[in-house]
Amino acid sequence: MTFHLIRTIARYEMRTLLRSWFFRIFVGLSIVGLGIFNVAMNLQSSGAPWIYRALGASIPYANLIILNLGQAIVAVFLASEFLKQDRKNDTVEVIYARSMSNGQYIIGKTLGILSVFFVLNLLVLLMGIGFSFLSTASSQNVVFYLAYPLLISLPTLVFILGLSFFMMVLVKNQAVTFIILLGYIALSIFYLNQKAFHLFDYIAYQVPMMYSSISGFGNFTEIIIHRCIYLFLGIGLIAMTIYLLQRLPQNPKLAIVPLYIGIFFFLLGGLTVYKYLDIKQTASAFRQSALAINNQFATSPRATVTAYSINLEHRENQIAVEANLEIENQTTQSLDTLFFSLNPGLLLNKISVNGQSLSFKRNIQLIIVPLTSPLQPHDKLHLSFQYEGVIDENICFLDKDPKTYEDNFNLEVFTLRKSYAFLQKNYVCLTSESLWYPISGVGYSSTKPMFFNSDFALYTLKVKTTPNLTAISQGKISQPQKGVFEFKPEYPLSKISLVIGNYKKYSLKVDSLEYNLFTIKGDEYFEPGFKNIADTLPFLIRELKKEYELNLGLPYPFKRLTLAEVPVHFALDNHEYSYTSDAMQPEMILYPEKGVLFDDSDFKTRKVRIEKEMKRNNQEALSVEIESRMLKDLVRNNFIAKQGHYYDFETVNWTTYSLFPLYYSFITQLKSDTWPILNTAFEAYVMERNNNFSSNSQWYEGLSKDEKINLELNRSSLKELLSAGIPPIKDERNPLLLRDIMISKGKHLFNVLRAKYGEAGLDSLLYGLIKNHTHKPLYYEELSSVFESKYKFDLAPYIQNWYTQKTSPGFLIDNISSYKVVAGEATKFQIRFTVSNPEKSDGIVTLSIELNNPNRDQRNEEWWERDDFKDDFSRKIFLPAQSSREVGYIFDTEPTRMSLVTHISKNLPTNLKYDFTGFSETRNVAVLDTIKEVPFISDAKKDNEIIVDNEDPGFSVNQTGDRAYLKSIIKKGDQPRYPYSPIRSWNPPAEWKAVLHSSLNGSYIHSAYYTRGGNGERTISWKARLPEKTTYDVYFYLDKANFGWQRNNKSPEYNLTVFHDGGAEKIKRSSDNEENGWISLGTFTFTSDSAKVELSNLTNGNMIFADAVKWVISK
Amino acid sequence: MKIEITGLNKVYSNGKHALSDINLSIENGMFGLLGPNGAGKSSLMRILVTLSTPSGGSVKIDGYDLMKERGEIRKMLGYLPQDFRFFSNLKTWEFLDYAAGLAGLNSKITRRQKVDEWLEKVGLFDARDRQANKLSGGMKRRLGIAQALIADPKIIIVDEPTTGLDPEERIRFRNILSELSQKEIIIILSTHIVGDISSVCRDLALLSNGFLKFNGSPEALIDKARGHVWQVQVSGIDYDLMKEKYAITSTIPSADGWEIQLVAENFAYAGAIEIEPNLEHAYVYFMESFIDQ
Repeated sequence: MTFHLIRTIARYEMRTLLRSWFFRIFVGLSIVGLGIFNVAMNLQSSGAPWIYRALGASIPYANLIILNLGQAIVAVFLASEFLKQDRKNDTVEVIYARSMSNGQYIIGKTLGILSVFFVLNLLVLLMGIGFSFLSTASSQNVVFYLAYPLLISLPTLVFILGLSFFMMVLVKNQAVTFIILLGYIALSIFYLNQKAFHLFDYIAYQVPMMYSSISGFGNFTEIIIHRCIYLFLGIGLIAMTIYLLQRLPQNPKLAIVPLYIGIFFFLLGGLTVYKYLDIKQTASAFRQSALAINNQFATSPRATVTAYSINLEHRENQIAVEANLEIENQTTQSLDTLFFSLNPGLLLNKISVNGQSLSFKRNIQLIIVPLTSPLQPHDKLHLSFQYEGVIDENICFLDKDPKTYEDNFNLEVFTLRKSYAFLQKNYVCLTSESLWYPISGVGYSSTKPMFFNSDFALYTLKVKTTPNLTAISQGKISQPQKGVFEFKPEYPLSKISLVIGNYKKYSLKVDSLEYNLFTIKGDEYFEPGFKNIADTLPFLIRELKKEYELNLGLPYPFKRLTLAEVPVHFALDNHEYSYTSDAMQPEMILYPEKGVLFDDSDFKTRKVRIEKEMKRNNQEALSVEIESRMLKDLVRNNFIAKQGHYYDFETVNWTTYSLFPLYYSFITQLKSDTWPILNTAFEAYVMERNNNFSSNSQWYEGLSKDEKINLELNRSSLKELLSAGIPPIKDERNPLLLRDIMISKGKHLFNVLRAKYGEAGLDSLLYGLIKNHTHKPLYYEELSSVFESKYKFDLAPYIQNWYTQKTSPGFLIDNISSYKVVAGEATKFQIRFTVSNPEKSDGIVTLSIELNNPNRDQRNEEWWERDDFKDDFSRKIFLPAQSSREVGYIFDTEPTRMSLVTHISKNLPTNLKYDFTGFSETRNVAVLDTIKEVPFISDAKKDNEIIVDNEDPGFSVNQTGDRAYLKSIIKKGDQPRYPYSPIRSWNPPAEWKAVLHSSLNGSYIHSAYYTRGGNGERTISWKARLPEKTTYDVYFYLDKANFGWQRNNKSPEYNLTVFHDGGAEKIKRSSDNEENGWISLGTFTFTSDSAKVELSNLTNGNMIFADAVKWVISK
Repeated sequence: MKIEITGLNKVYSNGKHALSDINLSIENGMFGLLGPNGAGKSSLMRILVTLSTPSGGSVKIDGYDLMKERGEIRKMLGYLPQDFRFFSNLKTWEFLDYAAGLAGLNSKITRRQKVDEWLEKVGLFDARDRQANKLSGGMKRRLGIAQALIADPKIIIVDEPTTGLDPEERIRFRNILSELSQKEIIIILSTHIVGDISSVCRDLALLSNGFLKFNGSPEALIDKARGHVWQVQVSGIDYDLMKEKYAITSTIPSADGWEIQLVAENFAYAGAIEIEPNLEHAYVYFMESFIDQ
């Protein structure tokens, strides 16, 4: 009877809902919209990221997430509509007079709405599964996708229905209920959803639910807990609605029951909230404690592990290990205590020496082993560790600030749980980061971020797993029996990793190097794409390898290169002090499931594109040719990528999958106790010395990373920055990291030496050192002695200065000229300029020239692939402290642009760009085709003139303006860390703001202030103390702001006032009639020693620039 | 089957006394609830159908306490409210089916048979697939009757059932009710139209301003009016005077002016003859005397 009534009510609620036009339109739009979305994601020509077609769960997950956003809002309307209708409908009285309880009635209504939505969800899911099947041609795991409607939609709907019902019976006004609920939804989508570990995300947009066919959902328990919060609260709200319903209860004695049920579910919801936050906060607190331990023991003297022999058994989601370590005291003092780190999830049963147990203490990851007799310097000891258990991922990558630690990441519309380690019945992926084997000492510490270096040790690893699984690790593999694998690396390694899964192996030997590809069975989608290049594969691999090594100047030091597929959840973090992401392991690349993070792994799409491109260029599109290009693109854009390459996802950049660590970082370490950062510096130099990339200003920020770095380094030394860190800036899209500064400073350290001692000489010296220290550390002392013997140069003071001082070079560019010259019989194009470094530090400037190349624009590049500056010609100019150089080069083709990158210096912007507009004049002078030393010009200023620039003391800003009141309250006291803003000519600010641009006036800093044109409410003044009381020509530095977006800027007129003896003279200059640069305002007499020029924002233009004023003694 | 109402009071939150100390006993058969608009009829009915609670007193239906055993009482009820116009988006037959389902008819086949039977009975069979919302006023009333009666209720409560019905429909409705009144059930009919109950009600109650003014058979009510109903031939001028002074129940134009029937405590006029009162006369007499008090 109970159920019959509920079913009857539900059935008729469904029927009514299905007839509601509002709902029908929603359903129609959802299905059509998602249908179009699904088709688009499946069409190769749509340019949709590969992830949609690669992973089976993508489209079902995306569909449900998108639908849920819609239904979470629509349900509010439908739910509040029903109670409103109930009140309006007098027919409801005949229903209320029927024999049923209020509970039956509300539950029936709720189930009715839920059933309809459930059918819609199922349809959308099936559509998603259908499309997913079309694109991935695999039906595996389909049953798991059914979890999506249950996890995503059900809790959301129950909660929002409950909330809407409850608000409706409480507020009794549909309009007010709407406003409250829509406000709540907006708040939770746009604000709350990022707070408290996404606790408030009732729509589940940020709950990581991407399903990997290798390892499943990231963390199913957390997902369930999060979703139960809303399910329970929703049920509680529904129960409260029953309690508060305006209908006499069927049985007055039981009327209170729904209240109790409501309270019960609220408590249950509260409990799940507590549990959820507890998990997250415990993880965070755990990481804080673990980091504190690392900080405490970072500099404690420790033994070095020289060899490992690990015997591991994989038992479902556990491992049981016996690890035998050979340790050596490589310090100069005796060690009475040994420190090791091991994953805290692993239970350490025993540590023994020669079969004798040692006592030990454990604190989270730390193992403290007191020795009865101290280990003397150079003495060795053999220890055996026996442990078993699970892996606690929270120990990994403690670099991330535990307070802001975020364990999710987003790819497109998907949220994924970041997984640092996998230990499951059918899948294992453990990197040294998870401490699955004991390491000596501790890992990353925030107080000594550069201090951690792993030991180079000889490893042997024996793995026993389920017979149908394959184990992958470093070294030579042998398989004595099914399910047992032995790995013996031929050389000491800094770490090893272990991957176990249902893999299929592809193997190829090229020039005695073994290339292995391990893909999860079922993921061999790439096979048909490369069926024609089997024969050319060795050749292609050889070429690509040569290409990279030529640029890097280092040989590949391992005997094999293994690519192993890992789940899409695999964390790609890297340590602050290193380029190396965890995806890169010695001899090994852990590539993401079906290559989802590489645009180039979508071979079907790539094939069509390449084919088209070749046809457009009238090339014959041979299969071999196409397939070769696909392979080359994949390797070039991901494994040997250049800086500046664009990636679909924020989690990946040009270094994530770079092979570089296999060439340097896993091979040696530059060790210095005084300057541990030298390893990072050296690594940065080795990796990037041949890249000519300079970061460009971001239009939305106004400053490039290089510029921010210069601003930081002008304030503090590297040492100060490393200890104090950089405060995070709110809402910054491309934040400057400490790591960026380390890299930049590191490159600069060695680049200056390189410029000083010559490229070839220095490189051969450094590479000689690397080569001689393959598979072992390189100590600073050796580096220093080589410099001493070869160049008679004492590195120590240079490095100390680099580390502790905030002196930077600064560059003044002057006398830029461009003209034609006759050289021999031909007319050539000459460019000349002088550059000086008046500061006390040596520096380098990179000159790049772009030549007029009519073919350039016909290259088939999409606009986003086109680099900002194509350097046809490039030179590094070394400028010792307090020196000047004249630079001149001649070209056969007309140069169109010149760029001077000033690297670490006092200069802003760091990339000075000059456009050459014509080489009309031919001069009959000697050509200059080199860098020439000239007498040092300390200051380009002339004696007879006074310049007041916006960076000078005489410059003052009258900020009175119409800055929005609300904005001024919110941003009150909000001083930006960097004083320069982007130039937004489409929406100039209603206040004066400082901006940077090459074309603006300045010595080191080419800056100006700009504002929106107005009625003269804002002014700027330049005041100068004039040296002589006489007549001066007064000039104003005009910039018409011809940089981008200028179509909005009508040529503005400038209204200036010159204050002189005769009073104040108003002067109007139209930028239409003037050239960029100094424009004359007239000649005036000044007998008082203070002179002033004022500019107001009164103009007909969109914006106006205030830069510099010059007083020149009139002749 | 018996309804016992004892000392029933209803005071609304605004202080209005809708019902004051009502004592009634209703037995099988048709029971009429008469009274002008605002007399408290609807308040009483809403209490009887468990849509609102009394402020005091008790109601027992077939031994069940209305305050405590609503479930049992609701099972016996068929209710047709005064306003019955707005439906959610359902077809005529679906609405009936829904009502039958809620009334406990679990079997789909039985339900469908009942639906068809009642559609036929109230003459809506041809309109079975039309949207209930789009039926005419009369059809909606008929649908209302059908939904109230579909599950063979033991107590049928209908509030102003014939409002808006044309004469033919009114007759059809009366026939349905009189047919039902032969069964062992209680039918409570609330109305201010005396004609609706004159022929069929075994008992009636008269409410005014929340007070029970009369409870008994129609004949007893008529008896009370005997000797107070007159028929007289009047001129135009006198007619106007009489309209002011007496409650006139019927006016027929005649050759010399008007032939009127009126209700009065005492009446003396040339040619006036006392006539046998009917229920309408009795109702008017009763209401008039109440006002006079």
